[in-house]
Amino acid sequence: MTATDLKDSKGKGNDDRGRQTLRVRVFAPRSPKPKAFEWARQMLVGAAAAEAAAAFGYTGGTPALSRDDRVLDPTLTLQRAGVKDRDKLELLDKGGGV
Amino acid sequence: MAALPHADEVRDDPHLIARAFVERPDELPAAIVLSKRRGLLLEYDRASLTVRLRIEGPAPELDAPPEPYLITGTFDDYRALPPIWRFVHPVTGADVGTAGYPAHSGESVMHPSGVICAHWNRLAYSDHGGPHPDWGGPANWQNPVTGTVALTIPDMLDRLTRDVAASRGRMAPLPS
Repeated sequence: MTATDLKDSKGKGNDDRGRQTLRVRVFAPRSPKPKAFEWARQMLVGAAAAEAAAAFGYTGGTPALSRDDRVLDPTLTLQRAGVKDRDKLELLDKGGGV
Repeated sequence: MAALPHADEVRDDPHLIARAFVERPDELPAAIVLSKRRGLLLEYDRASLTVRLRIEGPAPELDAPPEPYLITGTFDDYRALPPIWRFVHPVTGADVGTAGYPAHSGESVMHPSGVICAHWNRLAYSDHGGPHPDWGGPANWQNPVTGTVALTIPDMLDRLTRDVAASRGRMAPLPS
């Protein structure tokens, strides 16, 4: 799935019944604007975080996604982690403090 | 790409280069947008290359009022050196050591000695009184060997505000 800038994703249909994919917006600290992503419901959170990080130009670190200030378990699928269609997610680095 | 400053300009204003880095779109402007998104106000003093962010964190007791914090960041010599990040007295702005900091929790970057322990904080390095002689010196901050990575001001503030939100009270009581 490729990232799109938010303006390109507006106006799409609202009917997500039976969709196998989730359309979300991801916010990253260094980008004033979010990016839209469309991911399979069964995609792992960790893989989605890595893809979002790359799309925003991040390299290295331990990218992760959060929803409503709760960091999502990278080993779960997006669906199991509770991600819903049209959710707003945030990209963060969850590397340990030292 | 912006033209490089002339040597005379740098001599007259030694912070010229650091200021140019701080004011890049993905640095301070993005940090201001991030702060607004969190309902916070990021203050910037251009002359001293310092930012200040007031934020509240959870108290240790469930029904107690939130703990106020004041984060400061100084960017002289940015990006050759990492910024100097501190938690200071939330009212006076004085350096009060551990009392300024939220308590360590989980994977927090708040070191119990009262320093933000991350590659992107100059004070974490032993050259500057910090606990880390093993990171290759502050000039190597953009090549972290371990731990959390944050290479821009908004990334650093994102980590700090998240660690505040995950804390439960301050590291030590504020001086009366």
